[in-house]
Amino acid sequence: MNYETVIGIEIHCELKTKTKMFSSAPVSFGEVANTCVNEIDLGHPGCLPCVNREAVRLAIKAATALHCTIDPLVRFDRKNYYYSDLPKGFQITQQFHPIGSGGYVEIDTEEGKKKIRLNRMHMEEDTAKQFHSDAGTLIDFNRAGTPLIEIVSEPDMRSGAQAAAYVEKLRMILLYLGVSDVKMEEGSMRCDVNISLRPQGSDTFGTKTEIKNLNSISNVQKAIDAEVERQRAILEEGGVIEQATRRYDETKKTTVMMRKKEGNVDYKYFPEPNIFPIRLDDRWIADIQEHLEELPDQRKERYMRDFGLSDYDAGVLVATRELADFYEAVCAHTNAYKKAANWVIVELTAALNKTNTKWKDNPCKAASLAEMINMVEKGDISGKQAKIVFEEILKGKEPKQVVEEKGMKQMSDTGELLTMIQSVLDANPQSIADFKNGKDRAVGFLVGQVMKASKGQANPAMTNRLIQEELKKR
Amino acid sequence: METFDKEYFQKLAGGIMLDVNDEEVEDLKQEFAILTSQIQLFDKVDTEGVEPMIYPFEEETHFLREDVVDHVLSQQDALKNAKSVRAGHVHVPKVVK
Repeated sequence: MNYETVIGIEIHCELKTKTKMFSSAPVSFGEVANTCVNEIDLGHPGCLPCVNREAVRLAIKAATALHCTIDPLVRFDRKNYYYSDLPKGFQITQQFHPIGSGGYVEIDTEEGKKKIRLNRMHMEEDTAKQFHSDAGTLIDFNRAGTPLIEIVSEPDMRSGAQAAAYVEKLRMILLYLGVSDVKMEEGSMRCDVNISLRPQGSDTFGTKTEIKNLNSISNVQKAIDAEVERQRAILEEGGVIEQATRRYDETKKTTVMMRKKEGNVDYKYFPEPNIFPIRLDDRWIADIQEHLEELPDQRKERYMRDFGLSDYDAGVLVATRELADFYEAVCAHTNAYKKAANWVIVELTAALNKTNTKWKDNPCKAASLAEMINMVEKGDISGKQAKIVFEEILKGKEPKQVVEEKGMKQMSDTGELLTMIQSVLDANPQSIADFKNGKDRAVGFLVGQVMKASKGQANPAMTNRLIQEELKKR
Repeated sequence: METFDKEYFQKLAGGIMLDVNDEEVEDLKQEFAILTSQIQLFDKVDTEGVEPMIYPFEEETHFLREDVVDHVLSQQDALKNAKSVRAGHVHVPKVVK
């Protein structure tokens, strides 16, 4: 039987604020345990939560970019459960009135563009971090109370590749907006995937499993592909899927059971009595929406429109924010946009990979790279020489300095070049005869002779043009 | 409405990890009998067409806190109430299998 895969994704993102969702203690990563907390984060009795304006602002930005409808009346609810990572015994979330509802994310698939619908986007607080060992569980409350947004998709994805494209697109949008660090490996973006299979053409859902704690986008795809195969094998043998939470084992390349799900847990949600409904100012919301940063898709379109880049090149640049920002810095100093894209995407990326250098430590100065590209454009240096100059730029040198030190300057002085061409032509009457007999290859040979005579410093394009002109005169 | 009998209070107490003895259950039963009779007085109020309220004052608020670090506890204070502390962390019996 043919099965259809049905995937829905929940994503939690830590918002890039200075303080917690409901307290004025700092948001941190990698700080000394239990040094970024106050009584509110620890759930001490008698203290009151107070909503962070910046967290609401960032949530509005994200909701706008994701095409959600924004509820201007902010309300919170309690999700009650008893666990050691949650000191209050409940999490403050937005169960009944999420700040954003509906919306979509557009992804590229093999069959073209596809809109993944969103169910909702709401604000909530993060829990404490726990470390388990045989000696017990250690709790660090620094993360408790960190502002989060949770983005819930509709079950609109049909493959691991689509799911990975969705997570990547969301990650890019939130990164470009400055809403979150979206570092999956550090947990500032966390991804839970729901997967079920159903016979092709069926309109009821099969039993789903949930995969938690996926720490990279490539693992999202690998985990889904592995889980789909596991479920398919069970169904084809006539078995039933057990509703459960699973995790992805990278070494075994398979999903592993974490816990069975026995019915729905009753979280006894009710409106948070300690936070009265907050009416947001319409002008404030409008102002945030009007000043939204350029989104990745918009930037890609701009590169294709203003810089004449291909869809592929523009896509590669935009996929890594630092790469795109650097490219724009280069384009501020040169008009050779396509060449610049090529240098950044191919040569610079390769050079950084080779030395295992991160983008933020990129040693290449944008202005230097642009200057070098301009030299090639003007014919001052050849493409081959540019590669040598580029190596030196990476070491912090200025292109002009390198060209002078290495005596690279191409011979572009017409007079000097012409003298050299004349003597080469005089010495090669056979080539002139060949040319007259229609053998174009003779030109290549003559250019080679001039290059040799100039010790590689003649401008090849110019030499080629001058030789053709001179040949016609003879 | 719930029957406030011995089993009810024992189950409730167990749920929040408290022990109650028979004497205490008797006290609770009496207190709840009084409460119940008081609550029944509300039944006399005509609430036809009145929506349940969540907050005592249904006034919307507008205040949002500025994102500025203000009050932070020292690690020593943060851990003061913990029964067991290890390496700056609150230590509890292992919560996962």
